[in-house]
Amino acid sequence: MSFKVLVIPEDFTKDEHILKPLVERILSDCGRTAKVEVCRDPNFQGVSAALNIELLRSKVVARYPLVDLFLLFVDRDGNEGRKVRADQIESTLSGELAEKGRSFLAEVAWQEVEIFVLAGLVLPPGWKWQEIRADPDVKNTFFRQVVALRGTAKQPYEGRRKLMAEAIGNWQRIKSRCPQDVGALITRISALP
Amino acid sequence: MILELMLSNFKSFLGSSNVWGPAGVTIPFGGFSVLVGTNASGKSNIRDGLRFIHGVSRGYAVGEIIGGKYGEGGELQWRGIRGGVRETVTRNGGTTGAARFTIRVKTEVPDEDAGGAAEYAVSVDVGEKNRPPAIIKESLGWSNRYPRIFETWNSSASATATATIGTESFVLRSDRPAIIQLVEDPRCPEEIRNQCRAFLRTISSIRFLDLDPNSLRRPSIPGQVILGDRGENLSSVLQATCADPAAKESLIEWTRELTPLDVKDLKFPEVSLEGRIQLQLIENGGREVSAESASDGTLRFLAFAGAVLGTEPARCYFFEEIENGIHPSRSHLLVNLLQNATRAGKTQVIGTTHSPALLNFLDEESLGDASLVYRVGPASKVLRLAHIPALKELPPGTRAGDLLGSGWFENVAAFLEPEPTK
Repeated sequence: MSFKVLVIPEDFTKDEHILKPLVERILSDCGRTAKVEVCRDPNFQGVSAALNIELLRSKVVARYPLVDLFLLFVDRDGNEGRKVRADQIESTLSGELAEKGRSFLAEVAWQEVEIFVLAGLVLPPGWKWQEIRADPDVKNTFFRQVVALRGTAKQPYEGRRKLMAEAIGNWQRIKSRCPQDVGALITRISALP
Repeated sequence: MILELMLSNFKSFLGSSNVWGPAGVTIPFGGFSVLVGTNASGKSNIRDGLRFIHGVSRGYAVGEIIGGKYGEGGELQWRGIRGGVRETVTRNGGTTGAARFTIRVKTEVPDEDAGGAAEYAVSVDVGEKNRPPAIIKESLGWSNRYPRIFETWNSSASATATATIGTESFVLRSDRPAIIQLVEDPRCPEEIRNQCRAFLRTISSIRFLDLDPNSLRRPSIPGQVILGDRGENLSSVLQATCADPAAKESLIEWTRELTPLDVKDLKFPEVSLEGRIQLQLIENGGREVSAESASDGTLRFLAFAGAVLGTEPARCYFFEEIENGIHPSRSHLLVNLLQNATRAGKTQVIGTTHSPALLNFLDEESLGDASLVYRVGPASKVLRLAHIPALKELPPGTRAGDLLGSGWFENVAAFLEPEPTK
């Protein structure tokens, strides 16, 4: 039977096209046959609501008894405290779910989820990956430039689906460019029972 | 862009039948403005107010704007205002009484035209049994600037009105908007006529789309690139849009997002001897889905996309019940499409909705531009959501759509109403 995974983004409308293929690829890398769905309701529309443990417990975990792994995925946005908060939530909720054989992981994109699109694409000449990776506003600074160059601004959510489909084809590049989040997640999911 | 509309003694929007009397109800608009409110709260009366102003720009007589306009061949060119002369004006709950209403609209005139905010006001006496409707007061000016570009005054609702411009007086018919007559009058200074034209351009490009699935499916002739009010010409509008490969790819992406169909192409085969074409969605694997069998919601969504992404987008669209036919879990796509289209500032969208799901997906700016239309007794009122202080004090995770579904906005509006004077 497939391993059932529910990805919980800050805002599914923009993030699902990036996180669903990414998490599917991560699970495949971990050797798991999985069904990955993205949580659409509640749509937190912001990191503060997404990191509210009561909302996560009552509005997400309680509603999805079929799920084997909940994966909360939020932006770091240059805020070092966010990883600490995500770890606390993971620790509490995974503890509550452990006896039922279910898991809860919380991961923080370094620095915004659009980084995974950029990680897989061939970047314009002169762009330095270290600068892109460190930019807390990578979506506005770099991702939107790629949208303009690719002409996808008028597509749904600026063409995230199409751009990520291309990016995921360069999986080794994403893994090597994103060790702190993608790499760490592969290790952590591989260690799950 | 339409900045605001004021309705006084017009349908359910009370005010004063005295054109110098208290102002009526002002409805503010932003780039993407959603109007929410219960059935019969007055949302469609706002549309009627905008249609009246749009009718002015088309050069019709007042009787035609209200009652309908037929061309020389007997064809209907313009549907009148719902309710005709008897119900266009507010008569304090009855069918008698002073029969005058005022509509004022403030628009942003693009730089290439004149640059600035124009303010146009028209007061109409809807007439009695044998007396046709007449304009009793009309003016155009730049916001907060005097003197006005022109002003007419015709207190007795007689057949003529006089406009004074500089030292010259123009005797005009009162059954037709003065602004149109001045534009057509070669004696009127060119500068004044240009200013009138610049304003008229801002209101002539409003489209009132009330989409009907049968009209959307009907084949059309290539080259018919203006979407009809009921959705006529959808196929030829989309065909013209698809001439640009990037625009075609966008349309395909939107369709893929909205539907479970794995669409890879859009085609427009001829389906009649007259050369009419019809939209066909081509899926991976070659399965063809014609407009005949595409779902109502898919066609409505494509009409929205065709309107705002098309070759000749209007400056302003008014959509009735924009969520119709769209699954709640997909309403974020509609919001994304319309927010994107309006972000550049060249296209404005005003839409009515009953959908909590749609409201949940509005970004902060669009939520701030949304307004509640509600009734206090017989009177329609408007409250901009951004002006509800309690909205900012709600717990995190509270969604505007849930508040709409529970009637919270109407409750708050009632609490915010001033106490009646004793």
